[in-house]
Amino acid sequence: MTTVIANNKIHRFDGAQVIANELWLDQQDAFDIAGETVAIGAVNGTPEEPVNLSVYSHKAQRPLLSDAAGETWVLGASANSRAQALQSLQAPDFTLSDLSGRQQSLSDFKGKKVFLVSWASW
Amino acid sequence: MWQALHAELKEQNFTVVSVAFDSRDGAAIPWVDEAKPEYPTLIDPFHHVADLYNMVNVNQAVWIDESGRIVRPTETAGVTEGFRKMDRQTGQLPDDVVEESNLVKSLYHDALRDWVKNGAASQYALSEEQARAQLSLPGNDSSRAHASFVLGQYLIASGNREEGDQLVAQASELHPESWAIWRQGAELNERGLAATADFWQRVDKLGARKYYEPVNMAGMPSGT
Repeated sequence: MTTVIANNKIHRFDGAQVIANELWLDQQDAFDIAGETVAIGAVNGTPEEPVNLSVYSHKAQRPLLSDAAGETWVLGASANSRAQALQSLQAPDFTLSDLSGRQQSLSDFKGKKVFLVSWASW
Repeated sequence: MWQALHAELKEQNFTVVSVAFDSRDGAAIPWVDEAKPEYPTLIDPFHHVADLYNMVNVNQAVWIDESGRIVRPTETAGVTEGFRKMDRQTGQLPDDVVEESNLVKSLYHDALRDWVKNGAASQYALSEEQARAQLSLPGNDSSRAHASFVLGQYLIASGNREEGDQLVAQASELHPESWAIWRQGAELNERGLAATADFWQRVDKLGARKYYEPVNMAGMPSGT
């Protein structure tokens, strides 16, 4: 079982393989994580054929890190995509749990003015 | 902390949405129990919203209009540098510091009221051009830092403290401007605050640089 975290979501896959410190995933799994088609590594393009997320991350300039055991991976966002999203001035959406465990998204409040504010217990 | 303002303005098609940058399970609960906010209080263990909005501290805020457009990008939410002049033995603040901090807070809250009432016509709702000019954009190091932070927090939560702590420390090295990343990884004092000697040392090292960038708004003191 391999865990991959991307865009604040935790995915777990049985079919993932780590070969020479590179992460290979089914195309659909890679799509779910990356949010776009990952075609790198597929030779004849069949959906079952694994793709190389490590090479993808490099080309897409997205950080990809793993723990020493190669069991848990994080695919981050490129600085460029974050910057472009902010420059569009459309508030990036997100979904988080409240204290009762209910998932809420920023987009749930569309139609209202929102004062989005950070705080912390520390 | 925002409950009074939320209660005052909520009938005017307005809501506060608060996001707690808290990776430690349950750390936010006592605070929320005490404040009893009616607005959504979301918990963000991976500091995802900091990553999306390039936030580096709390309290920072973004104003978003009814259509989802950012009308004020990430900025200090009406707090000041005043705490740096605190008597570190007694926790007391000099009177002039308290006065300035109250002034900044009330100007900021009034600006928010003005925007809620007047929308795009409010002088505090920035035009697209002004809003873009005020954006602070992330770079490659902060992007790597967030990935490292997420992996670190996941490992800590899974019981792999040693490797997790290293990754969180690495995140802070990559993105030293982020107090949120540093304080999340820092030791806590007896009150549960990341305000030990290490914290004060790091604040002192700022010298003339700001802990809280002053809010760029008419009438705001430039910060001391």
